[in-house]
Amino acid sequence: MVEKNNNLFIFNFKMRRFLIYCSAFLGPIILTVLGLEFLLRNIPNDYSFKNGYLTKNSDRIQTLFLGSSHAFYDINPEYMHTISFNAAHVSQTLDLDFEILMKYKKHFSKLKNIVIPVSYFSLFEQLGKTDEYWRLKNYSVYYNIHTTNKIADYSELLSYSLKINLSRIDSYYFQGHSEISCSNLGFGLKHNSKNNRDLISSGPATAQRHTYRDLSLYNENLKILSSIIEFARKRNIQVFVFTPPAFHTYVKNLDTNQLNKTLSAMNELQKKHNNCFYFNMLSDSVFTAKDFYDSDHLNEIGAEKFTIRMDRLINNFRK
Amino acid sequence: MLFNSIDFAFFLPIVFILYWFVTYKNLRFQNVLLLVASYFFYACWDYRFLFLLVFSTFLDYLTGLKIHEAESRKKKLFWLWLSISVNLGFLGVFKYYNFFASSFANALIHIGLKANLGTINVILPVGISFYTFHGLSYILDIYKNKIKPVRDFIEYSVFVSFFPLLVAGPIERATHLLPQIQKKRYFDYSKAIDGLRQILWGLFKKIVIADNCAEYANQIFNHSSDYSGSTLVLGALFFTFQIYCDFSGYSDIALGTARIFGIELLRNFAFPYFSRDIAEFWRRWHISLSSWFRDYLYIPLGGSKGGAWFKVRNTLIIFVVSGFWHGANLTFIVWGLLNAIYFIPLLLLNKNRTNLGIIAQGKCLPNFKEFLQMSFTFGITVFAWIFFRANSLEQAVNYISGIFSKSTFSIPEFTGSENFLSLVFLIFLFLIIEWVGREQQYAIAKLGLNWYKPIRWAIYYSLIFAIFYYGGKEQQFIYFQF
Repeated sequence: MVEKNNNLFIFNFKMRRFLIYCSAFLGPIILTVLGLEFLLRNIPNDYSFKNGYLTKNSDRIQTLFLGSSHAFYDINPEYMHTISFNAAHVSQTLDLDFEILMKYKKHFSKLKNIVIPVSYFSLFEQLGKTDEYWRLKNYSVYYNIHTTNKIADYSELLSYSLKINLSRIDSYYFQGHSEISCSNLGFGLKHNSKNNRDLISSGPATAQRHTYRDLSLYNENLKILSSIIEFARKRNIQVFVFTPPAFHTYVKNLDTNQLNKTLSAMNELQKKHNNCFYFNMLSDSVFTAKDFYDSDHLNEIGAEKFTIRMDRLINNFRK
Repeated sequence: MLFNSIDFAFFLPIVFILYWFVTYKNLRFQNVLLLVASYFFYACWDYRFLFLLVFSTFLDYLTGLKIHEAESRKKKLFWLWLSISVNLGFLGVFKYYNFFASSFANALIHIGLKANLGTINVILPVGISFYTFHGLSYILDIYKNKIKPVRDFIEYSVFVSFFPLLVAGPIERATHLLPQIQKKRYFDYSKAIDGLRQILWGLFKKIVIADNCAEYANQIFNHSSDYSGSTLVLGALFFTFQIYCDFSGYSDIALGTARIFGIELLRNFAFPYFSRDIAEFWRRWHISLSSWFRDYLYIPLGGSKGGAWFKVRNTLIIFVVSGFWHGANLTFIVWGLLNAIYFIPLLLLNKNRTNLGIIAQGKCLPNFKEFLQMSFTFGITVFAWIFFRANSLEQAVNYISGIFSKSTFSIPEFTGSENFLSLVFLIFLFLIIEWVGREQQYAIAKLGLNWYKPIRWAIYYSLIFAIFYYGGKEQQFIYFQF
């Protein structure tokens, strides 16, 4: 009994010492981490801006654009006749489009049109399963959309290296540079025609990057898209799905099987749902080299042209 | 769950608190906790393969008892071979089936026949090579009457599945680990602090050195035909540091974690790049695997007892099997073969046990001879790693021909970039710390222990700063694929 009590006393003494040591050592680190996380989260960015816009204005929006960079940079709501907002983000996949839509579903009282790009790769990827998975934290931190159970996906600090994070803090707090890269209506501003990339060399590499060997997400993504259309149907909203224009160096290098699977699925979807309309603009001859920023994105000139066309199409179908 | 993930940073303290505060008074509860935590740790990667781990554990537990209870040798052998064949059968199906099927089909094509054995599309269960070898060592030790089987299934399961060593070793021995699981463990302040220190050093090696080297090594190896000979040399060097810091970093974290729970694991690395010959290198690199092969393959084959041819044969077998253990690819076999070729002359000249001590022990620097020996051993190791890293033999051969070209004398690419220069500086700093700490269990085991506390803490904070500064994306450990 005495020995047992002695052991317990020694344990308590050593453990207390250990805990004090750890707390003293880790305390400053934890405080620094929390401080940095606070600073990083307070840097305004596209995600916080769009979440703020949607929270305030979703009851006014008539046309909502969702999707990846192919909508973010290709559609400028400024040229729409209806009150429109571009809620697309780089690498945003269909599952996240659905989540955004669900988040504000109660507020979309005037919504008439949802526009979603279904690009060559859209039916075969989900952000959490791509190399761009680190962007998931933007949805959990700024949109409060939880699609992941990884702790790192809930933190700004843990999603990038400290090297990058320190330069972000320096850039915003000390240099005064903003991280917001979209217009007031959510259109991506970085793809300026003055900085067009080489359309010839970027095409094959991008096409290769967008080609998937594993097509297992196809059915799941198709189901998500159908759910979006079904959600819209119940609210008398029309869904416009489009495959965005791309330069011929990209189009020529696409895998026929993957492309055909997408095109046939979209045609089927259009047949199945009377509130869904599909436009394949992949090889649309209206868009020439000067409209492209790179082989699969338009610049602001192309975006203007494309948005005006989209606006007309929507109006025609509405009539 | 990865050791270098934030999830592990939450998992470890939770298990620690439950282990020392909730289950402290009862050994069995502590073991149950370790088992549950270990299965949770494994299930975070892929819960579907948990059944395989549990099945393998149960099989070895049962066959261990049966071998011990069997009265005749014949019966003992039956249970032994049952365990060996089922364990190696799983390993064969998951790890080697596709390799053998395609190699067999290719061989038939060469003699004018066609066969389609089909391939299976299955992911390799993480850690299968490690826990299979764990179980086998237990069974073989029972068969050889070195140990008695464990009656308590929980204790045996913890031996196989203890989370720090579950997915990438060290490959433990029942004689070493089981007694620690079976007896009461006491919290030891200095050991716990030492464990934390070793975890910190492991994380530094993995996140700061290995992951940064990986960026250059991957870029150069994946586009090797685009680079000059000098850049290819650089690529091989980066991979050399990547694989060492990746794997030994993992081992450091595993050993440190186990120490916090009052358990000592086998040392896996002992500064292998400071070896003076290849025999010494193999006594210092992945020690738990090398000694496993020595005890359960080399010695049963006859070891070094026979004539020259006998020794050569056994050495070749050991190295080729060791290469093949790493993966179903000819590149690993050639890597093993190459190491055998380096090793055999030392064995035949009876010089394979010349350098048993620590290089320049008690001195600041090695002498000229030691420096030359160390550089030569390092050089041939780098050369062998090219085969290990290459995707195919063809790529390895092309890579090496690229190195032996005129362009080797050109200025390598990347050398002007700030990232490259900072990485070279970090590797240099890392080598100095490793050299200074080469007489310890791990490089920073005694670093600054007698210094003023704020200075020592400043060193630890610098390491943590570097980990955060260079970290970001969680990169998988190389040895998870084996």
